[in-house]
Amino acid sequence: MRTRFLLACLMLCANTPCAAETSASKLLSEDAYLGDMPNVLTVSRLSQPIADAPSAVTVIDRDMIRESGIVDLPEIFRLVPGMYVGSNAGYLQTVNSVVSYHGMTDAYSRRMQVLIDGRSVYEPLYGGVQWSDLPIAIADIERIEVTRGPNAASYGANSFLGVINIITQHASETQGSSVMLARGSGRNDTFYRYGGKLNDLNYRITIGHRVDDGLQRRFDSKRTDIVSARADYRATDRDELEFQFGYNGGSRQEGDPFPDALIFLPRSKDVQSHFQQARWRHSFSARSDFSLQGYHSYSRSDDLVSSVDLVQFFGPILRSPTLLLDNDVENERYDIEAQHTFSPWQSLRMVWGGSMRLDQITAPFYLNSRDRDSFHLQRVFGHAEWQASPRLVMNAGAMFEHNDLTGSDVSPRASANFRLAPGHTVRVGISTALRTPTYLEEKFMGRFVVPTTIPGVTFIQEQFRDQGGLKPEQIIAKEIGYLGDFGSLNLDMRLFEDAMSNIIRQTKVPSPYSAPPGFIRIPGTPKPFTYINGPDARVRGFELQSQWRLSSETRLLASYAHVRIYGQQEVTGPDVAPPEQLLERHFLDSAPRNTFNAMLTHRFNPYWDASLMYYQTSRVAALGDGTPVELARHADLRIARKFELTRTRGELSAIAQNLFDTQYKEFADYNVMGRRAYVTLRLDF
Amino acid sequence: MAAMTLRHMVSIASALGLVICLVPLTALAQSRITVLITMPTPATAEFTDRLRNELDRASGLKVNVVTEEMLSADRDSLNDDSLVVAVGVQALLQASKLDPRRSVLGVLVPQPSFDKILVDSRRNPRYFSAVFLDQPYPRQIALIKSILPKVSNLGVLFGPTSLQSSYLLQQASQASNLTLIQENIYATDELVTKLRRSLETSAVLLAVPDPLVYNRETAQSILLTSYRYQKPVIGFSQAYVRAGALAAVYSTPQQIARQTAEIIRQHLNKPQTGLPPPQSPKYFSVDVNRQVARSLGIEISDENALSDSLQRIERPLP
Repeated sequence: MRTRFLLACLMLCANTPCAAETSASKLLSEDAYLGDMPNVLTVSRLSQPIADAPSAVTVIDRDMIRESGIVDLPEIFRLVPGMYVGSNAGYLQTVNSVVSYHGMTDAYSRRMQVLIDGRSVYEPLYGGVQWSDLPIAIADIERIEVTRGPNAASYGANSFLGVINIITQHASETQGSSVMLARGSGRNDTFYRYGGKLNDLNYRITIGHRVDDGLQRRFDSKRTDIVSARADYRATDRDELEFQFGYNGGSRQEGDPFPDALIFLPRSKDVQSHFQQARWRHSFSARSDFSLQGYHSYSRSDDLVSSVDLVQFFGPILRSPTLLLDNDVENERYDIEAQHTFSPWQSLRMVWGGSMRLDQITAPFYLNSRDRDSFHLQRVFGHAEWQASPRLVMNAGAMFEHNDLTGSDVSPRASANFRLAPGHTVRVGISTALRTPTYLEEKFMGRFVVPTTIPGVTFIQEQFRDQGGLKPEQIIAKEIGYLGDFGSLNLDMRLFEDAMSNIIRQTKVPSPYSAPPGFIRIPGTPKPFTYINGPDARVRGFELQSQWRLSSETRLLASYAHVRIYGQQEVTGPDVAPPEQLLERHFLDSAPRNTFNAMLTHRFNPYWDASLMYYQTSRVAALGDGTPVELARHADLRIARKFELTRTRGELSAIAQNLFDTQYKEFADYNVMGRRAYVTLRLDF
Repeated sequence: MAAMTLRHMVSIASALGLVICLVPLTALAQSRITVLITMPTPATAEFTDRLRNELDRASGLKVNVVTEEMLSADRDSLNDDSLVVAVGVQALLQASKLDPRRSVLGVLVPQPSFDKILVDSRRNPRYFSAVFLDQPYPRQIALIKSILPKVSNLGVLFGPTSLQSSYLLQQASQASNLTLIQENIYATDELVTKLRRSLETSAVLLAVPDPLVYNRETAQSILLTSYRYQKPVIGFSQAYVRAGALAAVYSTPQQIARQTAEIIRQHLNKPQTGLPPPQSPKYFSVDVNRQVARSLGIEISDENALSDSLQRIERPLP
């Protein structure tokens, strides 16, 4: 048949002058079949199937991010069972989203590790992450893997209650130009991305400007410029180089807008941060590869804080009527990490490696010194995954860590995943991790010094006088989980118990307290705070996440978490302040007892799709700056239309957040959430 | 030196034979096999060694290897009337310029390239044939069916070259009740967009060789993007599987050599009928990337069992 066709062609050609000389370059070469190829999906690029993973994982992919209609990155974590997300417009380094898992919620996400492409963005000063200062555009994110539970063996120190691992797209996947716009309630975001290619080099650069006017009746607007760039260079079939650079800078408002505020009044400060990162990946074979990564990151916030006129309190003896505080903070981090992933035989996969880190901090107000403080961290880690039989997968690993503050520690973990039947897996695991005290907890010496014209009289109010010497917090998390695949329905549920010890708690310094030599305590002011290793706590509960594909066009994601915290309020001992001097709020209510969320998405046709989200969070009383907030219920709706114009693909969407304007509160009673509406436009050309 | 002289003598003798009988292809004259290689690679060496082995063992035939340099330095080195086995596209292109009455069998060549060379050289298909590198589409579909029995559709990206045989794939997938989700790519910058569009709807991506769509450079984005969509890619070579495709059915140079030896022996028995029509590889292997399979949560039986079952599908037991 084919030969006859060819013969016909041949005869046709023989009679016409079409039989041109064949040039070899136009021909498909045998190399396509027999030549080498770069090792692309190397063993370290491949993620474990969720059924074999050692911990509970929630994977958020690009589609989910798009469909959820989020405007700010932290909002996406509302879809993770057991996670609490709140907007906070505080007054001191706290105009930030609160993201916490299993309680101990405070203004910082101190008990979770957050990584972007293997780079830790966990800040050593307060712990946690300044979400709006991250040099990342939502459009560049490929997926987010949230580990629910400690995972120090894989992600390092401070991978305590959970780990958020953000992975950006490979530069080869972001070719061409894109424009992304968001307009609406107090928002005006403009992003442009260009991705290009030069032989084996793929690169992209994303620039953006974000205008965020913040919450109603709060002083919390943000102006942000973002630049982020990534280049992926395929040096040989076995070597790949990756370079990243990012910048985030702009102005941030913060401050206490209440009329009785004396200091940390509404003001605007400038922040900037940037990072440079390089990674070399070498693949020895499809089953063994090595990576070496190094990065430097820097962040700075310029904040000059002024008090109200203090003459009303002190009379005319002041050297200056107002108090000025230099509240500049500078963080710098250098980190280098080597990792070898290999699979010596089919059923065994191993990772091991080590890293070194240097953090340098200058924070004159907090540390009562203009000197730069350094913190060193070294770690060695290893992890093995063994498919013991077709029904049993065992995971085991450990991290050994040494740091300047708390010395050396080991965090081991182990788990077994047993397949009851195809698509039905039971996982039993135990995992441990440590959280190193933050600078806030270990070294804060925040004080207000009021000089007077009277010789020898200088007033002082010490806000913090950290006693130091804290031990790291410890967690031992046990769980039993079940993963079920019922065709169109996927279930992931677990019962857990997190046993935490040495929990670091804020307290008043022990009595008797006296002001430092040479200073006079301002009469009537409270004693300073310090931090102590407090009591133990147990967090127990149940989590469920499910995905139900109702049809090929309709999908329902739902999750539910029930979390109870148990522990003793009282801490006693010779060095500890009496219980009445502890902060009155206890951590028992620092997690919402019940959280439920659901996202229903439907595609009407290739052009129209819509999603409906519902979030319900029961009462929560956050620690630190937080105040109790009652049950919050809100629904979001997103409708999107895709379109195509000659060489441009686009999507226009309309988003309504808090559709029924329930005026619920997040984190503290001053963060009142009304209805917000946005329009977004994306063009790819 | 002695070899040169001998070859010279043979050349003269065969030239005489050509002049005298004007019937070029006789069993006697083709007792020698000339393997034409333009660029020595591990694959060509593997092929030649195996071919030599097969022919020597079975029929005592000697294989004469001629390289491009030898050919250009001394055109006489091919100037006998042996059957020319051209290894690779370049060699086939060279061989197509030889005396039109000479029998040429192309091996380790993709079908689109053979078709083009045949058309452009206006050679007589009776004396110009090939064993392709391309696996027949029904075999590839059978592989997909056996490792992913539940899939109902199949995504394919065609480029200008592979588009010529798209109707064959349409037939093969129809026969197996698979819906073909086809995207045609005419320029490199369309690749990512069309790849994504295809991955949004298709359950598995079948890679079909095309210089524009599937090459060393595009392998990276195709494999990464497909993996991001958690969709398996069925490759066309062992290297593609190593790079990150889920599986591939392919033929090694040795397997092609075995088939080539069979064709040569048959041909020498009945030279007057000319060469058999171009054919797909008869012997093949299946390779599976276990790491990828595991990560995608796909369970696949042993490679040998898979290729046995594909053999059985093609040649059902009586």
